Amino acid sequence: MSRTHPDTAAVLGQTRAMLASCHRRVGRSALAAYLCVGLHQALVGLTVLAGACLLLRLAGHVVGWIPDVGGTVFSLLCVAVGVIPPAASVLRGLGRLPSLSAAAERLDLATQNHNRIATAMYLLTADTDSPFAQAAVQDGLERLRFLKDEEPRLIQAVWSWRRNAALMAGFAVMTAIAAIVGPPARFGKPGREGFAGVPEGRATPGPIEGKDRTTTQPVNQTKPTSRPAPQATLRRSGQMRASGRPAGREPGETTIGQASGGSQTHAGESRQGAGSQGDATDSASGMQSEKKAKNTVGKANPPKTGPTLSKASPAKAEEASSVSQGSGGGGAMLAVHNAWSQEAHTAPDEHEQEDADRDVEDQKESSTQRGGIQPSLKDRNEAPSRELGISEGQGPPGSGRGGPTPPKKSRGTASLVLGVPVPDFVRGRLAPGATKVTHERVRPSAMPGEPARSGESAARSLPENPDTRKPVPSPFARLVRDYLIALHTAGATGAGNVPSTNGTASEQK
Amino acid sequence: VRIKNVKQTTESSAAISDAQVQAERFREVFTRLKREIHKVFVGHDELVTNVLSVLLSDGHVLLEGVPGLGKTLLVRTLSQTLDLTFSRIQFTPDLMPSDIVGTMVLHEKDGGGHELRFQEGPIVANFILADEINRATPKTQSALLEAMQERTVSVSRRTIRLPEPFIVLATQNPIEQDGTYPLPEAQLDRFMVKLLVGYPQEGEYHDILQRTTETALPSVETVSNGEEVLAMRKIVRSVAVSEQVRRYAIRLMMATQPGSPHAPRAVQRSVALGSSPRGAQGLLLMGKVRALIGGRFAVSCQDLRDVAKPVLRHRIIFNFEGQSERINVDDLLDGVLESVGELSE
Repeated sequence: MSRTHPDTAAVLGQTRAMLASCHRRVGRSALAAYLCVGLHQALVGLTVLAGACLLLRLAGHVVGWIPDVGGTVFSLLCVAVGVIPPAASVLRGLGRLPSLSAAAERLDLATQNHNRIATAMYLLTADTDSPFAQAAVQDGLERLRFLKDEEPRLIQAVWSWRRNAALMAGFAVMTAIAAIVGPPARFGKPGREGFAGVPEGRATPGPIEGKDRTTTQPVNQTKPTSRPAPQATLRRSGQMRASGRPAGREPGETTIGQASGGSQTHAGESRQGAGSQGDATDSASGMQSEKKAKNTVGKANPPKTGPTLSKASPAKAEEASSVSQGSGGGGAMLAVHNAWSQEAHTAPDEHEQEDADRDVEDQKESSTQRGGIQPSLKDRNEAPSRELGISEGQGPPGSGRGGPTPPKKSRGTASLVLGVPVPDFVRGRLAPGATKVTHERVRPSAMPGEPARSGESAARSLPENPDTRKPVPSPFARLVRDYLIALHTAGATGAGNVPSTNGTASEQK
Repeated sequence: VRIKNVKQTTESSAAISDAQVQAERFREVFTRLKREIHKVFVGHDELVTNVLSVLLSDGHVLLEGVPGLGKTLLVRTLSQTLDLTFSRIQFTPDLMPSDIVGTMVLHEKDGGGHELRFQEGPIVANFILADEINRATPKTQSALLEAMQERTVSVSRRTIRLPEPFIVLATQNPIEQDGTYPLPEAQLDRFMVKLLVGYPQEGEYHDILQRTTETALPSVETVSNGEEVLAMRKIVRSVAVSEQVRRYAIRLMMATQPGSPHAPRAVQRSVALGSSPRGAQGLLLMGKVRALIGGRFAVSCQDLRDVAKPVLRHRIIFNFEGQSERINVDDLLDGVLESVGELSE
């Protein structure tokens, strides 16, 4: 408790009593502010709800199978959205009512009182007994006696009539439109609360409806239509062009359990490798394998694979198709079609081509090595083997099994010592091979020729300096002067922009 | 208990009346000082109030203004009214630290022989007028650092305690910046306020001409002394501060610091360095003097707002964006004062 005043409790009680009216007003204004916030939130929620209802109805009319919100549900939702936010906001406000000190601060602020009352409140409860604190408490209480009936600075409620009216109008308009539009025509069994259920017996809309839709299963009806990936479509079209019918299927053959539309081809591709026909009853595994097949096809095939395959003969197309049918566990066969794996078998001169490419690249590199000063940073020759195997030159080259190996690279300080033979590994240098530097002791001897004569040194012209600076031509001098005046004027007046002299310069010219 | 209560009430009444007497005495001396200064120094009432406030808050003043506005006159007159020692140091580029703090000088003894004696520099005085402080090199400017903060001067192994009250009043010229050395931040921060001296009003020119160009020149009387100034400093520190006002001072200071949650957008964008805690100290001390002048016993938020610009303006360093946009620091502080509310909740 405070030592500021001898009877602090009594003084505090008096202060609270004097501030009670102010405290109530501030509290009411705080609650009003919270209520306004809650009402605004409710209006926003109602507008969103009406918009969602309207969208659902419109979508239901267009698609025909989206559930509709009935009038009762809508009314209940409206009541909930309209009541809960304001109530929650008011409850929050009740939990955060301004304190007595806050009321004192607001009274000080409204009356331009130099915080006397709030300071007195603080010093009454603070642990201080200085004479100035006691004087400040007395001063504040005297002020409070005069100002207790004054209106404090109330908490301003944030309420925009314009914005909230717009929200209300939006709610009303959207509700009216939703009522005019009405619920969509109901198919099949309607829901209990006005939801229109999914109609029975209606086929799943899909892009391809033809002979493949001879047998349909309910499992596939709930699955939205899945479009084939563009690459797979491309492949399929190529296969269709090549064979005149879907790959791996006889004309008129119906596969049980295969989905209608574009997904059937992928399912077939992924399942044929596994030797299964895609069990229709196992819908989950069918979906998974379908997704897997889609991903595999999309990743493995480069974009140009499709056209390549489409140009191949029907037999090759079948072969490629069989190669790509291994995802379901088809033994040692590749899981997906890989053009590179095909090329590996069909291109026997691949190594020659690679060697030629390397030679070309090496030539390019040697041209960028600054004439051999800079060593090749991309030496592709494999490191020479350090093993001393003896096979009399019969082993494979560079394998360390006695075959011919390139000269070993010299490393360390030995290579820096002059006179030590250093194998030349720098590419692009003329006459590569071992080099040797020899030192020769030679006595200095006079060279034949005329002795140098001294002559008179003439004053040479110095480079330009302030003394020898050439005068600026008069038009340019005026231009420079104008620029400097403008610069200093701008600096003195505080203007940030220095006028450009471009226009003046062009005029001068 | 009743007797105890009565005793406490009596003590309390005595303490309150004592505080009222002290505050009344403070106001009286302050008013007399201002009146005497205004005998010579015409106009600039707010400037004089601020200089006296700094003197009584135990701080230092940086005066900035063009030549001829009476900065030196103000300082000299203040020292005369208080009967305190006064030193004027003209800062030049070749001024050395030893010229300020003093040095060892070779003296001839009476009986023959020589000895080294310490010769005090001009800084050993109550009032130091550091004229055109930005003309000296940073090395020399830094000679004032210890004196301003610690009230001592160290020369070789000797530490000299400066006389109390001690106050440095430095002046600098906002123009003719060529060949000057801007004060480093550490030095600037030690000045409690930076006061701008502007041109007088038209009516004030009449008084200036009348007082300075006629035969009878105004004379200043001594109205106080060093002891009284020290006593007034104690009174200033006794003024109460509430939690709300202290929080307001802290938020004001933090609002000048980029990165602080209280800083407005302009500060975040264009300020590189904000106020240090010395800024908040200066705000409260200067606010306490304002409260006493206003006849109150506790500082208010309005007191802090009144002194915010002098206390904070030299503690704000602009970044490149702020400098390139030529933002006025006082305009920026107006925005800061607007953005910081004084309500606790």
